[in-house]
Amino acid sequence: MLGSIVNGIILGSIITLGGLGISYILLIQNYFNFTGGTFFTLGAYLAFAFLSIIPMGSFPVVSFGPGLILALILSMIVLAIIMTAVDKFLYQPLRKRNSPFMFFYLTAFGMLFVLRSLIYLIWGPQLKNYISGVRKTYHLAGGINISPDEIFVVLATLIIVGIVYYFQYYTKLGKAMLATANDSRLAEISGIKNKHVHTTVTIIAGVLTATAGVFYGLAIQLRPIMGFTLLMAMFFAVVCGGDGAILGTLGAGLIIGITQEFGSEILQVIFDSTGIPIEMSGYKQVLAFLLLIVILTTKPHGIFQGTFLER
Amino acid sequence: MNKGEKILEVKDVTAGYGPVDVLFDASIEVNKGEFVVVIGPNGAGKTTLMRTIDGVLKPKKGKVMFNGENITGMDPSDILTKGISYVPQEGNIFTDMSVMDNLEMGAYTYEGDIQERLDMIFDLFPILKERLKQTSGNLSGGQRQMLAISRGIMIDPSLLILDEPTSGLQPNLVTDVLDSIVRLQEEEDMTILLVAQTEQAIPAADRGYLLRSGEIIFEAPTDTLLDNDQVMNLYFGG
Amino acid sequence: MIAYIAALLCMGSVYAIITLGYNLQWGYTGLFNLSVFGLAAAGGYTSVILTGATAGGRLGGYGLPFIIGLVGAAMVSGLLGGLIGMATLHLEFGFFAISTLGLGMTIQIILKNEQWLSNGVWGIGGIHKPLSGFVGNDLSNWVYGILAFLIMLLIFYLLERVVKSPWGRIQMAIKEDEKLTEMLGKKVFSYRFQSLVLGSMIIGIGGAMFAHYQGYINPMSYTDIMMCFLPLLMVVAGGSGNNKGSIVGAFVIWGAWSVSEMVAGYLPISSAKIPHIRTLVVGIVIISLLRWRPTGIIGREQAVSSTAKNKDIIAS
Repeated sequence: MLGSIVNGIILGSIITLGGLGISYILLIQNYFNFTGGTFFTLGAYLAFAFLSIIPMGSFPVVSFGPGLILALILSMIVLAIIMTAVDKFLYQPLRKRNSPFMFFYLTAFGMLFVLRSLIYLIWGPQLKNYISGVRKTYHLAGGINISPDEIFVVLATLIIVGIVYYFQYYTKLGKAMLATANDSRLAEISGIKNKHVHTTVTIIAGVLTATAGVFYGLAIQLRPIMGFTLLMAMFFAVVCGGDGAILGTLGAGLIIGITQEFGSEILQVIFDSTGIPIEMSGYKQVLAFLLLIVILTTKPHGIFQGTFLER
Repeated sequence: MNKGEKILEVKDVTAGYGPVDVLFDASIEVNKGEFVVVIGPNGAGKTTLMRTIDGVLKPKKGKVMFNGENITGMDPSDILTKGISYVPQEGNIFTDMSVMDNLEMGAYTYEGDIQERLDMIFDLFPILKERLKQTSGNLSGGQRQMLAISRGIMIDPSLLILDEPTSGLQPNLVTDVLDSIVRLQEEEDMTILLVAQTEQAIPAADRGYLLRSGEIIFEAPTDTLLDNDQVMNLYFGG
Repeated sequence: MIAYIAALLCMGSVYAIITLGYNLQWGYTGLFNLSVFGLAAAGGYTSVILTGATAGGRLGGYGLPFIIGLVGAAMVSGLLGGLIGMATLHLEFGFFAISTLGLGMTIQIILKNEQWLSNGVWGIGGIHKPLSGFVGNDLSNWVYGILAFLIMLLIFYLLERVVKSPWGRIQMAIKEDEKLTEMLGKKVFSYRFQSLVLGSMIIGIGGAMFAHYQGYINPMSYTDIMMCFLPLLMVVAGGSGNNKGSIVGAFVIWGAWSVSEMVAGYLPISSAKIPHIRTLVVGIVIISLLRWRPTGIIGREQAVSSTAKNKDIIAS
């Protein structure tokens, strides 16, 4: 039971990072990036590719070494470049033409399949891991099994969210992004070039998305549809957290992570005791989808308005 | 550059939205240190003219010269760095951001001492100093206009364009805002180009243009502007 | 070759039905429904459960006639489309799109997990092809192809009448003109809802026709690529909001898709990679169309502009 809460926090951290990537694109460019989940997967596989040429080395305590950190950084850079190129080449012409929203969604949907098929073609359908061999794991009281890698994922997520928060609300460029999101025309009049803001946002989204993918690969494993299966949970974090709200997305990400792991376990107990023959382990994604529908129909602008999680 | 020299010259500008032209061969001039008002009825093309000067709209014909430089078709952010600051009528503050953040965004491209600018603004509009942390969307109408003007002057522009800064304000606030604009002209050596639908702003200005159906039909110093038949027709139905 | 033409007639007609349903939603009303694969699967499984002679422990074995299967498929898919519509149709474009994608994924997950319903990933085989008892195996594809083609023509005929009626013209108007949308107020929801449900019913019929042609289905018979992305390309290729175009688009795209499968067989590529290469090509085609030939995608481009919220400011 407690173990699934811990798993939920780990998953929630990953969902938060991926969700923030989607949230930033939504905030500035006003569309839900369907490709977010697939970029997430690409980020994870890019790090995998770098690890095949970089020696892993070793750190104390955790199972990975400096090689993974280097691979993560390279993956961030490459994914940020890819996402910026996609933005410049595919979305910028749409913005220039004032194209209907559906063009942005169609493009994102098309990119989803292009990237997914590329990932299958390059890396194949097999499961992969960054670390070969047994991972270090602690067995704690209450049935909690936790590895130092997972603790690293949660702590690193909190630090990254803190950095993004500081950037967003305490730096000039971060505020310029908010200004553009608030009123892009007035921002342009004030000397904030929309083009630069779009590029900055895409780069940040790329860095966050790559990190989320690599953390998923580190804490769980690599699969070609790993990001796609988390898409509903990430959308939940984005919508429930509120437009561009960083702390809100963290809160909502943790909520959905814990719901998927701990909530499904609770539901399983209820179903078992009442004789309903449903195997919850297959329905974690559906749980995220149902919660997303609930949020969309009741509170489409998030649930944290008026609280400190509003930003 | 001395006072009285031509700072802005709009020559035969035709502009509009999509296939529809709103402005036809409009020409105006503004001299350094002047307070010029452009008046005209609703839909005359006043806002279109201001947008064309600021680069928000690209003109189909004609040119805009600023300090002897051709700025036609430049982006608003580049025109801003030349020294023209534009305060639109609608959407002139970042409603989701605090008053302080609005001022900071106004100074986004300003390279001088921001504190000096803030002190000047707090002297002009003391109320803003008390509201620094408040979300600007919650400000009253008058305070919004004060903030909008303040955002526009954070970069210390040589030409300030104001689009209906007094619309929707109570009469006593209108006087306050106009007084502040005159102070900017006199104390800060700012050149002012103001657009108004009502006649209230005319006495504060030095010179005025009457714009009607997209054409400049009259130009005069403000004292004679008020005597003009067309203006009288427009505002007093006479 | 003859066998290929018969197969093309079957699959082309099946895809034309699905594309006609999708075209009503996307082409006429502008709904970006991403649950097409789920709705088609729901229709397919419904018909198979209703018409199958034996069930072997799972739900079904009612042995009902083929036509009842189609009606059931239309009802179940229409109901699912209606449910998601009620929840999210009043929300903005993007919310509707992600919700429908979630619905499609959910239907697929249910079919994978609930063995009592669908026999899970093992799927259901021995699906009966109508009229095949009267003719030999050689001719059964021809007979089914002609049947599918006729059903498709019937749907086309009915849809043409629908879209040329005042109802259809209002659908086009809603898609084209935001101002009118505001004037119609609450009615817009019900018009969109009707289009969504009607389109979902047709998609369900298409999914059922597919199942009866294949003879065996499992949840992966209805993937998002094959049953959502491909129909989207067919709608777009035929020109959105054009029923004739949808039919031509379906036949041409399916023809190209199936020929590419044969051609790929001669290429020195492992067979596991071929579907991904084809998906890659389709994705690149769609993205390129958006980039360079946008007018083909939605007929005309001035539908809901991404700067629509600024329009009233410009007008003032």
